[in-house]
Amino acid sequence: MISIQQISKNFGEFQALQHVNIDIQKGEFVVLLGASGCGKSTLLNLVAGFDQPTTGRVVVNGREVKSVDPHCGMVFQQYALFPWLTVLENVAFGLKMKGIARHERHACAQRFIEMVGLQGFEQHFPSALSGGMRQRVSIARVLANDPDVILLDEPFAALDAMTRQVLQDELLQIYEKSRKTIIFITHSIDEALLLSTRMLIMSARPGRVMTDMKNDLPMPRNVDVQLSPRYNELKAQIWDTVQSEVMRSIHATSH
Amino acid sequence: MGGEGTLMGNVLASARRVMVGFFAATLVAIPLGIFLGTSTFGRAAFNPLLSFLRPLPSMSWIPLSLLWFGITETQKYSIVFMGTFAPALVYVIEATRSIDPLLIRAAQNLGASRWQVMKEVVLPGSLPQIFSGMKVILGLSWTCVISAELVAAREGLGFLIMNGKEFFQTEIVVMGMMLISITVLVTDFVFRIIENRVLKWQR
Repeated sequence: MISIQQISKNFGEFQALQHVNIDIQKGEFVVLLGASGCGKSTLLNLVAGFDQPTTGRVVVNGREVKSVDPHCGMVFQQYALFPWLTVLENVAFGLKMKGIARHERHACAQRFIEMVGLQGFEQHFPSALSGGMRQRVSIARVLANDPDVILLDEPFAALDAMTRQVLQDELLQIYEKSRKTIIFITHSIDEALLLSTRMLIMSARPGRVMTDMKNDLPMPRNVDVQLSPRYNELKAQIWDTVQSEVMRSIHATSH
Repeated sequence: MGGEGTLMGNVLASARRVMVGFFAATLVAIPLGIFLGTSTFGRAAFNPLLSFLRPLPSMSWIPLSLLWFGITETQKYSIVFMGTFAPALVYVIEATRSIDPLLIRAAQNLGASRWQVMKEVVLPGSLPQIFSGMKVILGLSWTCVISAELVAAREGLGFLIMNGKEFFQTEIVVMGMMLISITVLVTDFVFRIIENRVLKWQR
């Protein structure tokens, strides 16, 4: 489905990614986990085609990514909603770009607005919505466009803890219903464990995949899974791996 | 001091010149500015011409326009157009820079082509800045028209006060100035109403 082959990415002297190889199967929920500055956003931007790798290539569905590819729908941390469009028009944006007639695209957008629980807010502008609601619009907008892959770049990082939990739950339900392939970026171990079917732990300077780990917590899942013994086992295991890495990078930056 | 009909006639004559010149300039400047704002190559190609046009005050176009068009309406329109086009273009180009690049990425990610990005993202996204620039340009249009009418015209508010001066009618001169001020205030008010309608998402 997605094949990241021998990717390196330099920004001038700085090597953001080094020899990254990842193969992702259809229907996987992959979480890229790592401290800030480990190149996880850079990697996601390469998959979305916003940026080109220095060496290596990204192949999505058998086609090499050379420019921005609508097959990989991106959910941004900062929502990136169009402030001059209503909720309905924002969600229908991708369909409008495809030239789908107004009536049809609005009907389709309406379905996804209901899916994320925003019925009644169709005619609101984004400025009238809370952060959590804006991120729901952003998710609905990507879903309405029906991409093969959904990329989420720390989508819940700017939200308060309670809203985040609700949205995590909703994202799990959306994943179970749609069975889309998902790549999700976070620096929260809890978020990674709750959502993923597979976790890739990244290290910094240069960015590399340090550990590739299966998340065998049962699906369907909800937040209650955080109380299970297996959850804590996995969490301890990840923390062991991450701890030394975090310490190393703290030392590297403090000198 | 002419009757009310001629007074109103002078106001309307000037207002028409402002409107025709202003709309012609903005109709060209907005699409061109959006194109240049999103195209590094376009900017590089157009910049020499723009750098030449920009420092020219509107008054400096009057002799050339008289030679080309004579004392006609076209000449008045051309003064307004030439006096406002370059600053309007600069405003639009600057306005396109104010757009969050993330919105352009998001649009591309949702399948927007280059043309669709300009039409659906850059234009609406820079519209608030374009509007505030156009308010300045509208004021500038009035300056252009009045100066053109002061030099050569048979009607209009500039003509009215110049004519008043010829006959030592201070009251006509002062009234003409007040009329200019009132007319500009009215057009500004109308412009603000249109702006609020178009930009209702901003409130």
